Amino acid sequence: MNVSTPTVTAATLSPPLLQPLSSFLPLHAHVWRAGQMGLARAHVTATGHAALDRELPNQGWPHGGLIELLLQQSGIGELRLLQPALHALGEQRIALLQPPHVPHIAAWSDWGLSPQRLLWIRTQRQADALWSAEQVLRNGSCGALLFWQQTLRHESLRRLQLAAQASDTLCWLLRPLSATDSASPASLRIALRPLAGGVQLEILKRRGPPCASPIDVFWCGRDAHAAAAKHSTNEVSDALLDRRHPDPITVTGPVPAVV
Amino acid sequence: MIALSSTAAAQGVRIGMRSASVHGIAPQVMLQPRDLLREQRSFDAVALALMQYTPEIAAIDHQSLVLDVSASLSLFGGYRRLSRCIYSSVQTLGFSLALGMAPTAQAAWLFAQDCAQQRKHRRTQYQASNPSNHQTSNHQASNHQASNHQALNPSNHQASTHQPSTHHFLQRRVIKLGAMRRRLDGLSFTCLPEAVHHQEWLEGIGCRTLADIRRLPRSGLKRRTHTRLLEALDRAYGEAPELFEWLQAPASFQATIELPYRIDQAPMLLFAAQHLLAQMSGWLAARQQAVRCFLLWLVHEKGRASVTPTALEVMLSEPSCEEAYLLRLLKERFGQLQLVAPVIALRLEASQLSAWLAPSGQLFASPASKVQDYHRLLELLVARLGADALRLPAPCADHRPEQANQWQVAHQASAVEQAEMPTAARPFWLLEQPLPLMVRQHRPFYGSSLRLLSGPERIEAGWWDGALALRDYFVAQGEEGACYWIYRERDASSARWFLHGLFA
Repeated sequence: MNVSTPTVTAATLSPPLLQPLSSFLPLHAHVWRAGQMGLARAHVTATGHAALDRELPNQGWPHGGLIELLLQQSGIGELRLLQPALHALGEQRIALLQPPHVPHIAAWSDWGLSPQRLLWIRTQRQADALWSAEQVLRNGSCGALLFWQQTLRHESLRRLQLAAQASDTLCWLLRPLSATDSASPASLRIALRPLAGGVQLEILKRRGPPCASPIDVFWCGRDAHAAAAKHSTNEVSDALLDRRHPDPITVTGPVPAVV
Repeated sequence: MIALSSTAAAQGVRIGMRSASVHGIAPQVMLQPRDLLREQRSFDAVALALMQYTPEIAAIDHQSLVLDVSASLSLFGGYRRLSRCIYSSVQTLGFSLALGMAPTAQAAWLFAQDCAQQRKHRRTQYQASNPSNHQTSNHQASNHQASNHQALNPSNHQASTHQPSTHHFLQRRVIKLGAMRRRLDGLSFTCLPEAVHHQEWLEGIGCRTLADIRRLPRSGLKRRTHTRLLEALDRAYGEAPELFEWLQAPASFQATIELPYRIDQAPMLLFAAQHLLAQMSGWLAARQQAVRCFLLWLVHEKGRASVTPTALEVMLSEPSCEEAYLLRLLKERFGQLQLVAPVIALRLEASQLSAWLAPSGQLFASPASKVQDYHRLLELLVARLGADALRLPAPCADHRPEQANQWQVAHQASAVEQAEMPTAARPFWLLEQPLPLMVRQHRPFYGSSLRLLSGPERIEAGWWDGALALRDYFVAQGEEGACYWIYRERDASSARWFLHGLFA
């Protein structure tokens, strides 16, 4: 009798257990299957690039979480990528913490963004930079924080991630591409590589299935230099250069075919 | 002997002893002479700090304060929260207190007196039973060096009766008149100093509580004791009016604290600064002012090796009167401060004030509150990183990009006129110093040889200020696809290329 009872229960229970979990259990928002896209806990801001939106949980940059952008080098269109999202934040302030170069106000206003929204923070030590990042996130009066940092210890990253989780501020951490190999607690990691007239994005980590192929995002509009590049490689004529002053280069050597 | 710490009490020292007998019982006891001036100063400091709870505050004797909190009860969220606030304020200043609350000031004072008496009694009993464990209760006496100012009895006086309460946190806080009378009836008459003069006689006829005294015939009691006893009883039971002369906050604020020992590390000054800030916030509340700028003087050693006091100026972008916020700013400042010499005293002065505007309550976070938060963030960052670390854009109308791209220090932020911006494409990153580029095969080279996409954009300006720029700007692209903003100098004999910006 004792032996027969377990076999009976196993026989009755096994069919529902073999069924997929979704057939009788609605999943919690924090839990997702490996094959499907997770749902972000907080709200998101659309990236403004449809191809990228499709690949992100909840179709946008998640608020309340660290977003890591790994750059091959600075100046490959990383801010151009974020520009629609920064636009969508309205009049909220944007803090630039430890940017690699001097931010150019003219470019900012050229994108249709008000320069008064910018705050540039320069610190001497890394500890100060991390402290400032935490203060900006905790204060919550800034809509977005862009934080450039070369090397970060894992504890600092974890702390930054926790600070970002507790706030509603969009937090982008921009690091060199060499940081790809090290582990990171960030909920979203994207590697950026330059592309003619755009940028190539490779999603290294997201709450969802691994991203199979890189996403190419192309700029459109007035400053799409790539469009110009595709049409003619030799658009700049020497005649234009030498209209007012004779160019000294003509004296020293032959005029190059391509400048 | 007027006051003593619990450690001293454990060794058998009692109040009222002479110094010789104290030395006889416990030779290691340190005796401090009573400093009436300092006592008075500390008492004033407590009164000033408590002004943030009510403007109606009066001194009953040299160690009791009475506060009319009838209007403050709902503002501070009920009597329990208010009591907690008062407790923490006084403890911040380094004093212990006994608190009582009643519809009449005299009754509140009696409750506080009773509380102090029982505490004293309990402490000696506890020490007698467990003399080894004196470390824990040691801090109950004041942190202040002059420990003769021991029991401070700020008592609460509440004139109107509302807010019926069923259960009392401590029996010494009574809101209703009837409950107060019942509670008074049970009090020992030794709480009332007027009755203590006749203690023997009263005990002789079998009186122990206030109710016993009230049961005696008034005329006989008046003849045998003093009218003041009856008057005090009438005031306590709410049968006679009470009049007070409320304290007035001084016209300007300046407070000094002498440190118990020399401090040579700035972060350790914080506890003393907290004392001063607590006083200042009380003073600000009483004067309905907010501080815009305050000065903290760090007074160094005097005498032969005298050093001039260091001034620490804290400038706020928005006037504030919040103690916690000011303390946080000071904490960051102290974290960065290097002391030139040990500090023996601190002095705080409120140098710039403006009228305090009460925040208007709103259900949802308004843009105004975000702006205020933003200003606070700036101040906090400046306090730690220094004024130079924060930059705000201040574009200037100039054709040269390095001249047009001006960033100003945050605390000097003035209204910036909208400069006319060029309409041509501009890179987001501008190099601080243009980077000279190599030329390979007649092409500028940066990582890879660059291909010019658009240009030239001729910029020729600055002949008037000595920084002449004669440049042709191009947008160039490397082989990998990144775009650069490069220029060629036109005044040189040979073509010189420079990298000036990166298109982010």
